Amino acid sequence: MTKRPDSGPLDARQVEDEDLRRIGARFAEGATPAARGVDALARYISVPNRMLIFYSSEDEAVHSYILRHWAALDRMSGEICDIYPSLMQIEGNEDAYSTIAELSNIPGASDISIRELPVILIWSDHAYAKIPIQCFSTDQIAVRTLFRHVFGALHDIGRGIADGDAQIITEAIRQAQAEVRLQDAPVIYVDRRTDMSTHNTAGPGSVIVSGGTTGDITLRQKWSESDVDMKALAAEFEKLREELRAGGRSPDHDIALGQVAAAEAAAKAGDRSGVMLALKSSGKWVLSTAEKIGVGLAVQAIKAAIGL
Amino acid sequence: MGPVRKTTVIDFLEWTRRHKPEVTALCQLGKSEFMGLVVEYERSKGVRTLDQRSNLYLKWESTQWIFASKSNDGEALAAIA
Repeated sequence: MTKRPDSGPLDARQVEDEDLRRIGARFAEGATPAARGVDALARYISVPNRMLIFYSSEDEAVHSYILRHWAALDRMSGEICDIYPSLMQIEGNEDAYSTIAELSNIPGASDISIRELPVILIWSDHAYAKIPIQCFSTDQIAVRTLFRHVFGALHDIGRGIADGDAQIITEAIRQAQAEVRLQDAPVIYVDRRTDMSTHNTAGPGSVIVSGGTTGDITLRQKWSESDVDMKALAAEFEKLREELRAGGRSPDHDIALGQVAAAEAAAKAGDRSGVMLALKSSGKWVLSTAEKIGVGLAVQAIKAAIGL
Repeated sequence: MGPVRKTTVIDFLEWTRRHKPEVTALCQLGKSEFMGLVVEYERSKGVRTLDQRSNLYLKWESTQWIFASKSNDGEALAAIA
């Protein structure tokens, strides 16, 4: 980031251009956000869809594509969707891991698991779509093809996305997948957004679209609606926590312990969605430990939370 | 002190759009109005008090300075990394 002098502001366009050029990005005249010359909030309100691309510095194909083809992305998204890149993220000083935690008002953001990265999050006033693009992040051609089809779908929809648009988005992903001959299909979530006063929570009616089949209710939703004995579940989490405590003292272990402790507290409070939220980032170590000690209810909850 | 992250500003825009429909341009706000919004926004995220000497407050002040010093919010947003 260009350092700002103490006396007065730099011209924003100059800052943008210098930053983009310094990191090697290529862009066309008039393609930078600054060049749009409109009020950011008015633009935010008027554009029907917004997109954030969550990725870490390890996602080289996505990283490189954004650097080299920002102008193309901007042209493809047009007036139907705004993309908000973070230059610090592009430079590698900031990654998706820390960014996600701060976005409590962006629908669907709190539902993103670090293990899913890279992920595209598109949201409108009515719904959001979460598209893990790991299987497309093999090379830049796959990434370009994905974006072309996604923005094509958004243009076809022609308005802010709604939860009924899952089929169109799925078809676009399927076409992109076929074009670059990918075997693995991403699991796409399209959900109507809920009006969150403080923290974002997954709303009812989540639809999971997997491999082009629409209409299945998510595992998480199924679990939340199932008749689970929460008292027994809390007891199993306690047992699991004790087992995990004996298993290691690394920071990762402590994080996992905290997640299970939070799930235990939520289970004691009868808060099913709280259990899911607490466990959504839990890893295989937690699951395998739960399986090893035979806490079946906890295993089911963990599997549902992490989408297995 | 540098501004808050651009993604945080996007989150703030989403919160403002939803909770403050009367606000249509951030650069139209005076500093006290902007920081008042910020305090409400941060409170909604669980920050009970935003100390004026805290790094978070200073970052938001820096962000406000950028919004206030640009001719439109688009330029301001572009200047924030």
